[in-house]
Amino acid sequence: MLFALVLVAAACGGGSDDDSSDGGGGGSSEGTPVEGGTITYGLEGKTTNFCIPRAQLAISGIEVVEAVYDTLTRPTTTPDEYSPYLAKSVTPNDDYTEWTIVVRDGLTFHNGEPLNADAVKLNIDSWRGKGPVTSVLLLSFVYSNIADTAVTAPDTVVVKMTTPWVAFPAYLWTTGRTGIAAPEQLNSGTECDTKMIGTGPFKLDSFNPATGDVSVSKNTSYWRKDSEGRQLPYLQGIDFKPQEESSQRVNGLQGGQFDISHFSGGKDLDEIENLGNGIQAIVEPDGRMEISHALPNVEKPPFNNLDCRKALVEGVDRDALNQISNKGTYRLSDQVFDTKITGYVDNPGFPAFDVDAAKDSISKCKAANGGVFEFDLQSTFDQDTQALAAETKRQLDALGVTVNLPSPVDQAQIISLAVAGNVDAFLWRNYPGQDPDTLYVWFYGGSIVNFNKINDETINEALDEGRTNPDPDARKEAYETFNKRMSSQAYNLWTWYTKWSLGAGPDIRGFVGPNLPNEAGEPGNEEAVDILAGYHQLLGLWIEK
Amino acid sequence: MRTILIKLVRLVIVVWIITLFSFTLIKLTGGNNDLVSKIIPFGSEQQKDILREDLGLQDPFFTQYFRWLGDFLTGDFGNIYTPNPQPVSETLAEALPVSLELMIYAQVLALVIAIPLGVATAYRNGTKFDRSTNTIAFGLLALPNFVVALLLAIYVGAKWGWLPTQSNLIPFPLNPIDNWQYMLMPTIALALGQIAIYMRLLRSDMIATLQEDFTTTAKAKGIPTRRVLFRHALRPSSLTLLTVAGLNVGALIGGAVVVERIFNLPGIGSRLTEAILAQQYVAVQSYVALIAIFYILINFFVDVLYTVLDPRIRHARAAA
Amino acid sequence: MPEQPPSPGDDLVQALVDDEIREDVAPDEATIHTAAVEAGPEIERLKERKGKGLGFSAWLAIGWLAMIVILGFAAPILPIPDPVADATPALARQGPSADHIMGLDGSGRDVFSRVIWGMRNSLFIGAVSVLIGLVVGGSLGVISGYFKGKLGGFIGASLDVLLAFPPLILALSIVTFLGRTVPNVTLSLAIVSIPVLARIARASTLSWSEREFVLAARAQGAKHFRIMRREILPNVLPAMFSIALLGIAVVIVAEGGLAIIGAGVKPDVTTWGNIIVSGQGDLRDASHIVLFPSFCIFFTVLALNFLGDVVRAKFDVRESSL
Repeated sequence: MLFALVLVAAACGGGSDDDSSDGGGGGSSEGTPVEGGTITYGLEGKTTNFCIPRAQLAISGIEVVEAVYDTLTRPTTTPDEYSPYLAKSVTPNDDYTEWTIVVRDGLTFHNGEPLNADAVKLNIDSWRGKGPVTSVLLLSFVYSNIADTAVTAPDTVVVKMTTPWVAFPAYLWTTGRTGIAAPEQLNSGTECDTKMIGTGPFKLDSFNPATGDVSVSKNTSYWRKDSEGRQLPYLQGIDFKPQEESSQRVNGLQGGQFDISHFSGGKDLDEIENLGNGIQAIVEPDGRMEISHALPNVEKPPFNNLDCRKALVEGVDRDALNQISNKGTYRLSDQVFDTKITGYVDNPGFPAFDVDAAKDSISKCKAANGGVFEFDLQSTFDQDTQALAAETKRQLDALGVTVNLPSPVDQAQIISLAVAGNVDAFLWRNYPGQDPDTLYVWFYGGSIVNFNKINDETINEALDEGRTNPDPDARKEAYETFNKRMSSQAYNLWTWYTKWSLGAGPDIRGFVGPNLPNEAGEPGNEEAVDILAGYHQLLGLWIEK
Repeated sequence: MRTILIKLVRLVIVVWIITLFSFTLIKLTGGNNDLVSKIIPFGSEQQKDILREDLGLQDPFFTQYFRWLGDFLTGDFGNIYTPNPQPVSETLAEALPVSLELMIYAQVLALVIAIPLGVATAYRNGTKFDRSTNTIAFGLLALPNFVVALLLAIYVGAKWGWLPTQSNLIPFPLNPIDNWQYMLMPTIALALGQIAIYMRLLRSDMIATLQEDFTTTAKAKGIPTRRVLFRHALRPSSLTLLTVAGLNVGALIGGAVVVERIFNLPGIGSRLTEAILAQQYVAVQSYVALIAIFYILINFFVDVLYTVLDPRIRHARAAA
Repeated sequence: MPEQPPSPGDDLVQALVDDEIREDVAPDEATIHTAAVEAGPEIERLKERKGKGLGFSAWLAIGWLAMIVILGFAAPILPIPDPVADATPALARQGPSADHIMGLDGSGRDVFSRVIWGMRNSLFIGAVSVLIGLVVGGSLGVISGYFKGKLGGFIGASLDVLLAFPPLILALSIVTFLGRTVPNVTLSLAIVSIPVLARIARASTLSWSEREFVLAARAQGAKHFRIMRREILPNVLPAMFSIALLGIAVVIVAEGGLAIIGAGVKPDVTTWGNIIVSGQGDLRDASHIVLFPSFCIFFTVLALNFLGDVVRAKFDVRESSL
């Protein structure tokens, strides 16, 4: 079993054919990188807090973290393999109850503090809510499996687990969220929110929490060089600017105010592809995409009843939703995994769209609920999400289900409603293609971010098995069981795989960036991941003059 | 002097009532628990208790109000809790100049275009030029600013690429040209309706002035028409224009909120809109009170200026 | 010496100026808007038409408004697709065609039908809020203009406080704190229009209550209520009616503005503002979704402004014949 435990992970050969797929976003074959220049990056949302342990980071915040911080591991082109990054190595003991992290030597944070085992321990403890940072919520649940951390040598941290934890390296990346911050930042109280100090390729120049604008400039003593020995990053600086309206981001791209911006909707992608004037569209390759879905609370009526959940799935024509959001271009999904993820199965037993079956399920559902099938479908301020909610309501109303659309609220409010169990169903997007163990926290019974409130014996067992059993076949079987159970129980209305894309000006290059570093810190054979749910490396970006 | 003093007393009373009103608004949201969990959705029970304590929600209404007022008067406008507390006063420092700039630009642009047009149409009252200009202006009065803003953004900004659509706002002192480029479309969207208002009011005011004796005399003396128009006839009307422009700040403020939202300008309007969407009621309350006070102060100054500058006009009009 | 014909809109403006001097209040922004609408040559031409009927433009405006009111009322029985329940997502964003004369929106719903239903809701919000403003503001204005003492002063001061808020800010703060429903948006816009209409009513009452026939009625010992109702109200109403028409126009635009900033009626209610907001993201490739409701707002506001002028012109005619 190859978890990227050791540095010299085999080049599994998979890289080349899938990278070249859609958009021509590869890294190295586009001419000689030029140093210098500052670009403006249009973000889809503003982030007000960059104190890593307590920050709530979506893709916009993650890209800023990518600029200022480094993570201990990085994803590879194989979904369940992670390559050590800021760590020199990440190794488990025999039963995976203890992981040893050795950090690269001689690196310093932007403020001059050394990157050593103490700093790493402080970070990990802070994620767990056991460090100097207060109000750590979501991350502390993610890391609740950690029993203890100890510094055993100046460059070595040993992390002890309460149970075997096979996929721990995935949690040292956490979709790019867990950048290693300088002790000064973590210890600075409320200033931790704005005072970003990392080891990353760019240093913070300014951050305005009111507008969400972030400016970073080149860290001239960054530890990485490209394969030709040139200092990374190439760019002199990046200005991140939030613009929540995706159509306005397309406008900004066309007008030249944004050099690069990310998009999750098929409609936006279609527009960017047709902008002309050399504007590039770089598209996420198939296989590891996020899943869009409607997420019901299965703990209380009506969706505590299987017939009601099946009615939702059978009664909604997802092709119609796909037309509205994506001009029909996205692949529909019938499960929580995209094709390259361990646990993907061809037919997981997800009920098909079938009006007659839906009518049947609806009458059973009504019979079980005193003749009523009514629920609230909550959406955010995003116009697209509202249109989807309205269309879902339209379709179900026609079948005799009463769907109410409450006033939209922002994402934070939805999460809070979901955690408190005060929402019947809402539209959501999550689960980017990583190690399947990363779903543990979302679906294990009793987990606070289990928004579905699923507590299913089969699912809990499968998740535990996948977490603790190092045997790849056993894991595969466990996650397939999990997946089939999720789909056949219709716990969510899976809609489609979200194809993220980058739009960029005609002269921007290097969207994926150089290969991941080897043990010596030089570019090795391991390719960096292509766009993954919007995430991509920033240090390889350059401007062709 | 005495009239100004009376006005000042009235001003203080109105400002006080504004604060009372703004404070009462937040009480309309429902119970205290509801309010707290909307403001800090992720807060632990402990944090919620702290916020409840902080806002003093357990106290009687007027105790809460006077504490809030005391904070407000000393520059503590509460926090935005998304999710880490950020003082509203900090956001003002950056947002206020942007909004002021937008409103001043719009006001100046509107006046610069409206004054010559108003004078010319008044002078050529009844001609084809007068009619067509006024018809266009009549149309502009019916054109919502958000439609103008949306169309400018997509056509002028994106499709034709003439002006930047995204505000990467550079402060005026650093680079006036860049600053104007970014501000031009929002300014136009905000100013169009005002142009029509000022032009039409000035025109009707000037028509009356032009019929008066002194302009006729000036003309008879052989003073050039342009001079008569701009020196002799415009001067009495300029006070009316000043008053109108001052009072119209209310429309500008409302328009600025909409225009800032569409053009992503980091002004008070954007901050207010965001606070509304994120249910940051404490911040909304402060922004509303501050905007109203700003508006009433502008009106007060215009009023005082008017009283000081030309008592004769007032008395003459009162006597009529 | 024959009385000079008043210059356009002057009677009202004069009354407001008198009020301003007497009560030391400032004319508000809505009054300025009104004055600007009524200041152009259009109203002069309307007055010149005295006795010649309404003229083509006025009939055009009446025709447009009659059409949208009738369409709005008749929406449920018109042979048009349902604005919410009928959709063809596969054809989403399709431009105007024979089947769908205004095309389809981002969810494949018929824009023509949505515009008509939106008209129903937008006009409802506009008309009801101004009607509330008219009744409440009108009564307050007449009372405070008629009883000039403490009562009048108190009412006047209260209205001034409401006028101290920029209208859109006042409306959005009320909606924000009460919730985004049609009644709340209507109420908030009614509250905004109350002080404006009250100001007009008061200014107008002030000038009428000193006329001879009012003084005569008083001398004959008529009751206050009777004087206000029989002598003053009929004379104040035309002015208020003219302003109310402009008020509906202002409210229709305000509904759109509130929708744009996310403080309007919740998005599943079809209003002109909400149609525009929902089409914002499709402006690039399917601009018809935004343009058709925008045209409707434009023509409706234009027609209301113009009719406001017409009423004003007719009202002045009545006055000068007194």
